[in-house]
Amino acid sequence: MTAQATTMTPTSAPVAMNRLEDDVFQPLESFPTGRWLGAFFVAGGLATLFLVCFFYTIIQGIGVWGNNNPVGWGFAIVNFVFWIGIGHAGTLISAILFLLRQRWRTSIARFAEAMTVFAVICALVFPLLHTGRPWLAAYWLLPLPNANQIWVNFRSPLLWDVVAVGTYGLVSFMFWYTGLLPDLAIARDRARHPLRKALYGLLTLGWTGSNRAWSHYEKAYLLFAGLSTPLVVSVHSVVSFDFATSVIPGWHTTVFPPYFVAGAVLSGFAMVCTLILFLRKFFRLEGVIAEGHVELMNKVIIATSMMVGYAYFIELFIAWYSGVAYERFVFLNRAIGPYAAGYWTMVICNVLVPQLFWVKKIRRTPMLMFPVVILVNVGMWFERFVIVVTSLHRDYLPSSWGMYRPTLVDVGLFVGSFGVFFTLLLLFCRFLPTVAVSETKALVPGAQSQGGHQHE
Amino acid sequence: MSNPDLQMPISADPPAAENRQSGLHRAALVLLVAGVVLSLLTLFVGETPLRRFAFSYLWGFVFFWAIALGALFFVALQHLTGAVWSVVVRRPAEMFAAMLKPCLLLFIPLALLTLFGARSGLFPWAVPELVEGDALLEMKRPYLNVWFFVVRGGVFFGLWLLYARKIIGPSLAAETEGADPTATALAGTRVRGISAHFMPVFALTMSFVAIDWVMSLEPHWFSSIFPAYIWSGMTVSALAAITLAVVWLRRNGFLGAGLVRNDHMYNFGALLFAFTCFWAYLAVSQFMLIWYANIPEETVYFVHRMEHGWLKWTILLGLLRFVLPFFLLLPRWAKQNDRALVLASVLILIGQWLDLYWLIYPQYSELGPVFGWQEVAPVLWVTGLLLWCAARFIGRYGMLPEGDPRFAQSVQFHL
Repeated sequence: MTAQATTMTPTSAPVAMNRLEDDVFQPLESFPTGRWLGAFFVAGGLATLFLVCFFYTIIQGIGVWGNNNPVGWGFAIVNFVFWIGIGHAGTLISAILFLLRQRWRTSIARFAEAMTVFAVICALVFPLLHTGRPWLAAYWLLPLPNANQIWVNFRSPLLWDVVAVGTYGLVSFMFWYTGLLPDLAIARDRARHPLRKALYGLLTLGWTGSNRAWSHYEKAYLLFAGLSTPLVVSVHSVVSFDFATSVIPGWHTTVFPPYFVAGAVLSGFAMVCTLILFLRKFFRLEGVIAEGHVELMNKVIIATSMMVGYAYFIELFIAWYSGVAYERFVFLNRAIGPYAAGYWTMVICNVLVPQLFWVKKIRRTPMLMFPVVILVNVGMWFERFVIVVTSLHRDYLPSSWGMYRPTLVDVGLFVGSFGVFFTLLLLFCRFLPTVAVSETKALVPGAQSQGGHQHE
Repeated sequence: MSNPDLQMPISADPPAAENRQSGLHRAALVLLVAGVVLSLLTLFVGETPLRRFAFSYLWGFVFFWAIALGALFFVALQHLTGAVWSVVVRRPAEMFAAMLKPCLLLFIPLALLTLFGARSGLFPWAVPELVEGDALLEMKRPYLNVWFFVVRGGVFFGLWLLYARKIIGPSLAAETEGADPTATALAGTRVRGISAHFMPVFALTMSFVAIDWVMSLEPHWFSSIFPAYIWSGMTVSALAAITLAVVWLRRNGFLGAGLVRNDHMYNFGALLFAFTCFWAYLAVSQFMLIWYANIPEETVYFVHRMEHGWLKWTILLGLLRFVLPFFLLLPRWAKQNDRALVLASVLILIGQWLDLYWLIYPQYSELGPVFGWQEVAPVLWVTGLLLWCAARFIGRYGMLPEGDPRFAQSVQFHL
């Protein structure tokens, strides 16, 4: 097990080890490159756009969004579900793959975990803003004791969502930060400037690297992995409950929880894969994050893509099999109604395009896999759009039918959220080690003592 | 571990092993004959003997099928993921997967019971008087009709047998014909590819028969998670059967001297634990969403399983299938302890019997659960048949796929 392997990190391959450390810490210890600055300005610009739209919404009220009656949930919920889904890859990689002893995960785990934390931040903004007065969010969302004995509705899945996503965000952050400690200590030890040394030293929370510290660390890591595993499943299941507990055709179907989880993993891996391709290129980490790693991620993508495809199919079949007129109408309307383009984008991008990954060459060549993973990102956003909008825009009575069109503010918030995400990510790449150095060192050939840890 | 005698390298003593195999064979025959006799007796005793027989038959059939197909899924998954640890314990899994062949024979009576649905009264949609005037059933007729039911069942069996031949065939052929290392390695690569496209085929065929054989017993009711629910039960019951087989074979010296160690057993424990949780997750998702939305067309399914004396069975199901195995398998030592693994596997298999009973029997009688000697019959003949097939398989093939290029590596597996 990785946890056990790292406790006995010997130094039998010093050359490779140093190389690894230098490669990973190079971006932290050098002046930002022009590329990084350029990317940061673009991302920062988009993040500014997000802030502008954010405050405009607060000043004007959410009337400036495209939400209407009957489509009460628009871009905000689409984006919320989209971002939460993006985060899933990080938790899956750090928790489930750890428990499954998939050691290849170590080189991508840190980055994916960071992505999780930033994606949850992006996700949380949308429902908060959707409440209209986010400064009262604590009052709306948390069961705070008050003199009027007015409580949140514990029976509402929206409250479960607050709890689930809140737990998820917190645990993901703590998991990520715990994993960072030994590497922050390396950053501290490598630092030359006293201020830099002091700051990293503060962040390490007094990490000494003693046997005892490592032993506590390993235990904590295993516990976090165990605790995060149900969270991987529960978060998106609870998000799916927001829809599936209702009696709205297209939303109320029992396959939603596992279907949402599979979709979240698909979108998360697609995003990790997209970003890793840039990361390893620009920071010259091809040696640490090899083609084999990316290929394995692409295998996860094709597997989850087929699970999602299965869910699309079974939903469709059961809608027919149920004989319920409304169910049948919703699915027919998705396929040939006014939002048919969104539906077919979703089907093509999420189910058909990833089938290209049956070809080994496409799985292993960055230039060939890049369009595929980008399209999956697009498709997964459209999936949430199709679920949210198409089910609402045709109510039970034709007199309550309507259409949803996002406004410029909606689009600004959506595009801007990418800016927030990338700004955080770029800062992360500059200030924190993007690869779990201490753990990856244990995988360097020759790093293992004769403990018999020579399996896969 | 806590059982030092199990850790002793047991030399594979051929006469002793042979005795064990023939002992298993005899015990299996006794169970099988007793079960078949009781089952046949069901046909002649009581008020609606054919109907009772049909339900008990379906119950036993689905249990048997789930273990056989679940084992094939397990083997394919090991090939697909390139798992090394499982090579040394793959043969017992292949043993259960090979039971798909007798399973096809078992499908013939089910097909007949459906074709003569008016008389057996098994599937309401196969009874013409019930379909006439029922708008929903008339609408579902393109799918729910006896001939299509039989044909698609047959086609799916054909696919499973074809894949079983392609996936477990090379491994068994290497056993009988003597292994040529290069040929075996090549076959291994091919099997991996076949296992990959088996997965979508498996998912779709399994879903349709889950709907056909179990869900359509209440033909008005529908739930899109239902096939996945059946799949989770199938996988965990197949895993439990494989675990029991591995423990028994290891004990009796069929798996060489100390080749299968607790490190391998740990993985069975972990998989049993994971799929036990997965089953509970799907069960709760299905129940909670239907309960919460409270649409009568859907809640009727659970009303049938919570009233008229069914509630205690429902609670028992949750206990046997989730709570007990969960807490039993949670600690790390339990996943490496034969006794804990056997107990958990037995609980899970009883849970699978109970789960299928809970899914199938409420449709038999509206007055509450029935359980008599008629229901003991399928348990006997299914257990007998499983053991009989196993004994024959053990007599025919070695239980270690030594020709596999990764065999040595698999023996070396450490946690």
